[in-house]
Amino acid sequence: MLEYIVRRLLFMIPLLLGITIITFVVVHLSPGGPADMLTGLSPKVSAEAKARLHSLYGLDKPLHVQYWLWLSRLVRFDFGRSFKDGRLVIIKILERLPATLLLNVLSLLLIFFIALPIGIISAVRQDSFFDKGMTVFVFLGFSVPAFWLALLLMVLFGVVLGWLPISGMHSVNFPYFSFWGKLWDIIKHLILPVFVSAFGGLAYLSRYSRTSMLEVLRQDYIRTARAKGLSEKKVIYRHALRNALIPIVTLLGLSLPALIGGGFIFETIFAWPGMGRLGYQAIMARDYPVIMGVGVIAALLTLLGNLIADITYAFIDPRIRYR
Amino acid sequence: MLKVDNLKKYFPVERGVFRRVVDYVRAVDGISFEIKKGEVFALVGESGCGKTTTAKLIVGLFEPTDGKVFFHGKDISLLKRKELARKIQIIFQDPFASLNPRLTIGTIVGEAVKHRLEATDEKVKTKKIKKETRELLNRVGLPVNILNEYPHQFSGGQRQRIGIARALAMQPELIVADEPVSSLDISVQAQILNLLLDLRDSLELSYLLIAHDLNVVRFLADRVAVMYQGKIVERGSIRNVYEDPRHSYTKKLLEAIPTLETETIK
Ligand SMILES: Nc1ncnc2c1ncn2[C@@H]1O[C@H](COP(=O)(O)OP(=O)(O)O)[C@@H](O)[C@H]1O
Ligand SMILES: [Mg+2]
Repeated sequence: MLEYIVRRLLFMIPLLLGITIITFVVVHLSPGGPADMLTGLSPKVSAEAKARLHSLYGLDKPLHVQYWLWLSRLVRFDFGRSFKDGRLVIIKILERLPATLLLNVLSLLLIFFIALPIGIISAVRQDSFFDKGMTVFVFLGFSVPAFWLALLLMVLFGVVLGWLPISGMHSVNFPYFSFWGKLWDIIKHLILPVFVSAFGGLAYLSRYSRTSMLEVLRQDYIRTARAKGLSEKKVIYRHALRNALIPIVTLLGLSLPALIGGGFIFETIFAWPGMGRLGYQAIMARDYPVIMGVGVIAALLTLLGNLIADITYAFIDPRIRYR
Repeated sequence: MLKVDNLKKYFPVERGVFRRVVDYVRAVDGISFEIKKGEVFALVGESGCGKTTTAKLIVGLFEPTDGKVFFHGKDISLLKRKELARKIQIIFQDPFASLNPRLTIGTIVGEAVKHRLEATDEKVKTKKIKKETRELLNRVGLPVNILNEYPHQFSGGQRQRIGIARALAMQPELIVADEPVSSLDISVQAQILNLLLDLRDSLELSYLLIAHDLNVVRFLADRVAVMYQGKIVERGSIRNVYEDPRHSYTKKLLEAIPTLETETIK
């Protein structure tokens, strides 16, 4: 098992390298540089001044040299300083990371603990009223664009009903709340972003677990379990569920990039002070060090998530463990 | 001992969005037969003629559309699942698909033992289960130290032995063997067939043997029924049916026997 984990960790190195190259190239090839953004509003800035800015940021060196310099600092988690406010990129990211992790972990938990039972019950009671109702829900889930849903819910709960705040993570007078008041305040701010970012995953995973469970229920070894005379409950929870979970866990690991990617959109819509919003703002300002820092950290998180999924997978599937 | 009376199983064929039933597949269409104690009764027929469906009806995995199955004169549809499992067990055709890949051999066989035993003292029970599981593995010719291993670590023949041990764990009187060797290599087939014969003698079992290979049937069975499109078209002792087939379908089946394989099996 340990050997398996070590092997998986080593396997991540070339992947990470590839990701850094792609991040670097994409960022540097996109039109418009930071000097344009800093100076673009003022027509009086001379080409000479721009060149001075370029050399200050090291942008005058050849691309591969720039990449190498960046990479050698990267391995020490030194992403440089933001072009915009001169603060260390790693600090800026670390400030935002908890908010992003909170949002994503809650969304994942919501997806897992709601979609999974829905899928399993739909499969066990195939064609029941519940199953058919859920099919309609899933259909909606697939066809409603999440950003539109976000706006709709913001209007409904935030503006019309006024029940929930629609942006940020805290109220203005947050510092003056009691502990419970603070907690409740954060929870209220979390409800809409968590629900919206979980929404697509909810539909997808519930459908997927239904399919996975139906597939397992058709297997011969389920008939074997029934033939032993076991009760239907034991057949489903002891024999079927564990087998159905295997592909679901993988899928959950694979859905991480989508969640983190979705973060860029949802965090921006809800003004959630997370990494995605930081990245979005950095892109708008052509703040290279921050863009690349966010890109690399997001990739790292994704790979870590996949690693956790793989290890869980190996843990629940004996066939993997021995390979 | 087992009496099958005018048994039928129709599967609805559904079409369209509203799943309108447009037709029925008459998988089993009114078959009757009896199996006596200690007898090996064979059901033969080409693939798709309804053999597996019949097997599943008898072990209670399907509800019949019509007809009844009696065991020692009792209607099996009135028995609890466990009661039925203690009387009739099944061995499936595919030893790869019929063992849960996530459970150890100890669990697969031991769970059945545990389910049968109703000892109250947990400790005594655990010990007893282990002991019985080992005995069962020994009985089917497997090493007893494989309790913690998983199905994928075994060959087809070994897996089929595990399946047999699992069936024996309920101490049944009748075993329904649905093409127990058709997915195995010829050399392994003979071993499993011999094991089934040995078990019949030592445990006084009866078998309903399902096969499409007439050589297997000749080797094991006392009487045979030939099934064709959900119906039994011919029946009798092995000798009668093999030497003097009446129905044209049986004749065709007999002509198709490859003689070379007869040598290998015998
Ligand atoms: N669960 C099922 N639903 C619908 N049709 C089935 C089902 N099981 C079997 N059938 C149909 O019943 C017929 C007999 O199948 P089966 O009993 O498996 O045949 P055999 O075991 O003799 O090859 C086939 O036409 C098959 O397609
Ligand atoms: Mg069959």
